[in-house]
Amino acid sequence: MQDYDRIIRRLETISKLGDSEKEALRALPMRRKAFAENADIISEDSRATECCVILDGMAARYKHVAKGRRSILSIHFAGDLPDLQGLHLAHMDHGISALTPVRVGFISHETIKATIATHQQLENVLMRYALIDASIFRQWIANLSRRTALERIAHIFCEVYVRMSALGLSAPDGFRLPMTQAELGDAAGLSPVHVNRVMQRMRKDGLIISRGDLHAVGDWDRLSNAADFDENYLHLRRDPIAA
Amino acid sequence: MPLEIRPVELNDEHDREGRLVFQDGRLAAILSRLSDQHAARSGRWFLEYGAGPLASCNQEFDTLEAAANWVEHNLKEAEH
Repeated sequence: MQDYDRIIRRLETISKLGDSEKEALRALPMRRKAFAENADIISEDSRATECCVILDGMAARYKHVAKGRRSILSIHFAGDLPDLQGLHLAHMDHGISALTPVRVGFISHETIKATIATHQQLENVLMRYALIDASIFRQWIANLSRRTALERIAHIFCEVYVRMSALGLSAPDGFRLPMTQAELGDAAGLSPVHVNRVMQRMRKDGLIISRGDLHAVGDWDRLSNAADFDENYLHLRRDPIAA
Repeated sequence: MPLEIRPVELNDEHDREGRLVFQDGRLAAILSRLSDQHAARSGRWFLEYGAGPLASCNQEFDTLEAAANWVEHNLKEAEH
């Protein structure tokens, strides 16, 4: 799949794109760069002049907190635009790092602004993307503030499964979530010890079937119930996932 | 006054070996020894519960002694 098709596929999970918008996207000049696992793609407190798009691999938005601790704020897959807000908020109030080896495309703010000035529909789609981004953050706040350890981890698994499936990135035998238990803990506000206990329980109860970082859903109804998961907050165009 | 450490069995499927840590007769912390279910972490000591100034710390320690020293140090710090 071509790099631009990844962006188009991602945007089409939330909105229909016309030929003119697709052409405009394909015309955006893109600088490509590879990053090793754990490398910083964009550092916290830097100044952004480009938007990045994940082309291959997985990345996470993060924020450092006191005493060397880190919070993972969101997880990103191929086609995602994790710093779209940089178009209007150039100061990076968080960082983006590679969860796996990743290939990233960079598109200058100037060219994006020039393109959306002449393509109203594309501007609408990017606005919708940014609003859904905020919706996902609201769900993560609810996850962290009021859900139990098992609900939090199960919710992350449900979200990753649904988002990867919508992008065609999960296979019949499962989806790859190459996050360590420490990273899952950073995303769920839990210690690695609690993450390990919860994952073992989820496996024992048949909610997920895991082989290394390859996970399959054992029982979607029970997993999504255990997670208190309702995919509405992702605002995907397609029909809800089949049970 | 030194800490008093008493063994206790925890109601966890795997991590059953625990310690209650008291200061002046009051429960200050509950530690568990991580079972072999925790791979590289097994054998380490985990702060399951900390009262008062030790709340929500979820620290891990290489040894029980290191855990006790940490509890003692942080309780002293909190007094000042």
